[in-house]
Amino acid sequence: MKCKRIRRKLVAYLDGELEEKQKLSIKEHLTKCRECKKEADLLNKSFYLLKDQQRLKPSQGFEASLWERIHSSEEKQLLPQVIFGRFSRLILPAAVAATLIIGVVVGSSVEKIIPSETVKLEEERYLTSIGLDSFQDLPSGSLPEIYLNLASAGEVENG
Amino acid sequence: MPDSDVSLMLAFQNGDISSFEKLVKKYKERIINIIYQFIGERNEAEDLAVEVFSRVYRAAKKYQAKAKFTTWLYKITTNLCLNEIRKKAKLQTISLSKPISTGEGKEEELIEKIADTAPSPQEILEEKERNALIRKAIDSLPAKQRMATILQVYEGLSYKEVSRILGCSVKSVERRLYWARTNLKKRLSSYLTRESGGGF
Repeated sequence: MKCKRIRRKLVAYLDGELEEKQKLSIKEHLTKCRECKKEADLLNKSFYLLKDQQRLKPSQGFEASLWERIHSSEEKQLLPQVIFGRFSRLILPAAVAATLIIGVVVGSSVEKIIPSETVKLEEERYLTSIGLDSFQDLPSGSLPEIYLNLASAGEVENG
Repeated sequence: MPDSDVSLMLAFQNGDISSFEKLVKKYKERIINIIYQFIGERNEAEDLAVEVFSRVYRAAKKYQAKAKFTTWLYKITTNLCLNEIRKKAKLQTISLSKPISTGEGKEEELIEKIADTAPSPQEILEEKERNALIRKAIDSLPAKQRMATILQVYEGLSYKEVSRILGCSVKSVERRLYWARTNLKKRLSSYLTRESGGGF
């Protein structure tokens, strides 16, 4: 095997991850090639340098922090259920009451926002648009007109 | 041979809280150290380790004993670490040249020193320099190379186990570790050539 190919496999060789055949051929190569042997030594040293790094000890309050976290996450999960369960009977009446209140509030607000004069003007405008503003009296000589005249005359007399 | 951790997890699934406590006691130090090697900050590492076990607790009902318990546990840990790195990258607060904690104050009390005899001031200084150099070298690795290295070097996991945890092929783990170790060797070369021994 060429040095380049050997070097690509050196880390796996040092980690004991190669098959027996590959392992033997690299082992043999390292006895002959000084450069590859030097490379293998440096890689091996870097492994032990990392492995000798300081290790942390868990703090004494680790378990307490864990249980606190677990309980707080359980409470977060349970909170909506508790609230919903406790007030489920009141939800429908509350919704109806809320709708009514909203209706009243919105209605009164509309009246405040649009004054009654504006409403009247709007009404007149509407009547004009459909032609009811120019509603004529009853045609002269027609039976309804005679009846109305007689009725109003009787009212005057009676009065 | 049945995995005793799996048995503990199944017992916990059936409501035995003490089984969960046993698992926490057994693995908390390893999980904190995996995260610490990845993130490089003690308080954050411990906080994330709390989150790992809190997720184990919450996911217990869904747990299925398909693989080793540690594979599942390390998967949760690595996912959390990688997500954390992504979040930091988004916030643009990540710094590859982040200095490591120098071990002053409270932190120093909590760090288990490798040396078994009282070191001299010169030795302490040298150790600090060495740790800073190694920390910088680890931080310089891309996230997936870094995690593969941590699992293989510190946890002594095989390439196959690392591939299961990272959800990739064994070949991919081999490539990541090759590039990681080559990069580390370059960055630590000044220190490595100074040191002697370490043959195999």
